[in-house]
Amino acid sequence: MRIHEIQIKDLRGIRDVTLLPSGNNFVIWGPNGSGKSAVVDAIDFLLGGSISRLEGEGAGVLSTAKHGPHIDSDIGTAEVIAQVSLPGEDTSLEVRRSMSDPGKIICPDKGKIEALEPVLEIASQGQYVLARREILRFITTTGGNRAKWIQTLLRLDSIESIRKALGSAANDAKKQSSTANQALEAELSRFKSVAGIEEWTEEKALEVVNTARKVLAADSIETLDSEGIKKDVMAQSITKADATALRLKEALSESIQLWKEETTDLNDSAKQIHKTISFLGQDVEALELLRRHNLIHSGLELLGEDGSCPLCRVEWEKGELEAKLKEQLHQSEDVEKQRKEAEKHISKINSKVEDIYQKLSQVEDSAEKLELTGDLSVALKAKSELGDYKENLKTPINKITPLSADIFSPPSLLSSKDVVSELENLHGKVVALTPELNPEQKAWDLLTRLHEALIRIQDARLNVNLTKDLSERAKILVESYNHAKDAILNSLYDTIKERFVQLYAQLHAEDGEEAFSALLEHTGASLDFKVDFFGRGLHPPHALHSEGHQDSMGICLYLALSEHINEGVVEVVVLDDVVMSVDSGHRRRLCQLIKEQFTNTQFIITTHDRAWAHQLKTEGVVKSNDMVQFCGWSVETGPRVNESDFWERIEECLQNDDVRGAAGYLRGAMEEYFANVCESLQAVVIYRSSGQYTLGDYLPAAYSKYSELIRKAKSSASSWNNQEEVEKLGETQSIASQCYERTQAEQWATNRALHYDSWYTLESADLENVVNAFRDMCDVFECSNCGSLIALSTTALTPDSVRCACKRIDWNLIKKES
Amino acid sequence: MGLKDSQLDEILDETERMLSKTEQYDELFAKSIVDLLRAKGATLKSNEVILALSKTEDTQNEDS
Repeated sequence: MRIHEIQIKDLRGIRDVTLLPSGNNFVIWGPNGSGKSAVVDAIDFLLGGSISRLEGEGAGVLSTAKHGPHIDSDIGTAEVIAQVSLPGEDTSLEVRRSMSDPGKIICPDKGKIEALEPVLEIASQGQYVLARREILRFITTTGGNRAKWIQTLLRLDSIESIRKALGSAANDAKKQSSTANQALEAELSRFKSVAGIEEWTEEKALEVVNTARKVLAADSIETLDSEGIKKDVMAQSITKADATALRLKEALSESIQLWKEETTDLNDSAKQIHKTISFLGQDVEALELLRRHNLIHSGLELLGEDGSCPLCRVEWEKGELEAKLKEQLHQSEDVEKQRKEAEKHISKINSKVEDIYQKLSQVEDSAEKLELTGDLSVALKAKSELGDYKENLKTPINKITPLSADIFSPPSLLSSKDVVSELENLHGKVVALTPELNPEQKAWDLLTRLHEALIRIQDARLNVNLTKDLSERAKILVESYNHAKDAILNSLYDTIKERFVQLYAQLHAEDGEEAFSALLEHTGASLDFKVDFFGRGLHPPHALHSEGHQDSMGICLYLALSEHINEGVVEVVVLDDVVMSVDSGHRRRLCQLIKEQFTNTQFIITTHDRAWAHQLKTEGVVKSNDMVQFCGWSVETGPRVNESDFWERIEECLQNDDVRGAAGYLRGAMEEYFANVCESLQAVVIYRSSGQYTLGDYLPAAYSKYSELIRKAKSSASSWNNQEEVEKLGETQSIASQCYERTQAEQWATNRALHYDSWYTLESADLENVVNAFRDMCDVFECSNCGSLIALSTTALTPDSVRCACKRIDWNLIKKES
Repeated sequence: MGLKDSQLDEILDETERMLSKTEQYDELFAKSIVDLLRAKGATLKSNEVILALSKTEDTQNEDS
């Protein structure tokens, strides 16, 4: 899609402006604050329905709806209307978008809507605008942010979103598997408790089961499963209440025993660990070391061979970062030792707390069924405290703060005698309630409980297997996806890198960077970007290169990306004041790059720099009628658009008898013009340390070089016996000579007009002769067909030809070998 | 087809191919999982993946 005409009404700083790019490259130039960027915003709004700079990162409270319309206008009048052409079509169609209904693009030609939709879908991403602030996103950012930005630009963010979802799924599945294993351990523990065995083995469990079965005159079984445990056993009559009372009695006995045997020691150990952690918690430096210990440890293992930081990829002198990390690791060793010791104690405490807690839970379960919980108020409070305490014990030590260390203080009821006396009282009561069971009933009750426990173990095992499978599948899925993603994205990034290298090498061929190379590599969530520095190896782009080089890297990378972004559908690329740090020579080569490498792209270029705007014209990137100047902006009127070139402005001044204005325009324009000619022909200008050059420096140098080159061209044509070319060049030389003489004869007038007080004595007619002389002089250096400046072309520093952009002018400088 | 679609499709096709070569996935299962990724795209949630991966062979057969 190309833009042929765009009318902007009441948007940002513009009241009503119509521009006519005609599907060609287009330049908008003018001082800062003249409304140029409002055109970029208008294109952005037209194609995407919002203004990126008002919505994107850092926009804060800004919004398109609130800050998009002109400050003095109503939202209803703000709109953008354009004539655009679709790829492969010559005719244009109207599209418009209004600020009052930004989500809707209106195309009166209903028959074109279907063809327009996919184009607008790509265009709506708004990735065709490059401003200088975006350049920094490519260059001076971390690998993670660069990946994020470039993936957004390439609209690959869904790939990253899927990666994150799969990563989370793999982690969740791993956690589920770990929880399932813990649940199985707990069930095995319960079985051991019911069976009265110290250690879980199938043989020991079978022994207990078969002993009970023997009491009930049943045969032994050889495998332990819930189906077989009570098989062929005569059921014994025990009421539910009796069975529950029996279990409560046992649970109470065991709880009392545990409480008496364990809690004193447990309380002492818990107090000790609290003391240790409180001491650690007061040492802010120690805590900081603890927090970073694992990171430093992992960092050392992951250190790049080149010594770069594994986290942010910042380059370090070889061995420097390693030494620094080792020193920090050494400092943290003592405190890390204390942490490990404390965690060992915590683990032991936790196991005992868990035992007591589980036993009290069994007491509570059975007491509830017998409606006896009223007799357990202190014990249940102790259970609740133990529950909180065991959760607190899970807190990693490196996460504690001076204020949070108290969560490790032992539960208050752990040392209370009231718990045991309450449990003993209830035990007495339950003993009185519990009937005396005969051996068969006892065996039956045991088998029933083991049967229940075994069912729970089987369920837990099934869950362990399911979650293990799930975790493995999730792991394989995430690994497969990441492998495929890295391979495919790296192939894409390789293509982009190759193109970037080609563009940058062309732009900087004369800086000794012909052998320039780069690395653009996708790993995990990061995108490494390194560039060669004059054959001294790969470095981050902002490490060694100048700011100007960084800017041109950003432009080249964006241009390389733009071919993928626009997919040959949105042929528009907007460069919003991007060459601020790029010098004139490189700007010229950027012009060549745009012309040669992006023939199918419509560039809309804004700049505050008149020289760059002029260079874009003289280098043939845009034609005179495809550039406009924004000037004289005011909040009431918006920008004043000057579509004429400087010759027209000079004419305008002369018609108004504004001789000084005309002379000023002429002098300024000619200085810029002949500076460009000098550069284009590689003319030698006498050096001034002040850097202040005038037309008097540029014009003679340009003409002298021109004369030298045309002489060489004639001599070359003669060596090839091309008499016709010799004569043609002779005529061109003669015209040039006459033009130059006229400028020399008339130059006093411009000087006088600018530098002497007698300027007012000149008549318009006097200056008109000067203007005509310079106009003819300019024609000498331009192609009448393409309008570009002629330029000297060299091969291996040897001049070989002088050509214009369309090669209608093409002087051969290489003589025939005799 | 947009760049987003073509790159993602390539990645998903390759993922499906790799999955179906493993013991944990057969072709049908690999396809069903990758179809979920295709359908959900950027809106994919971890729990949706877990749910799809939790399906046993029996439930997959029931579904099909």
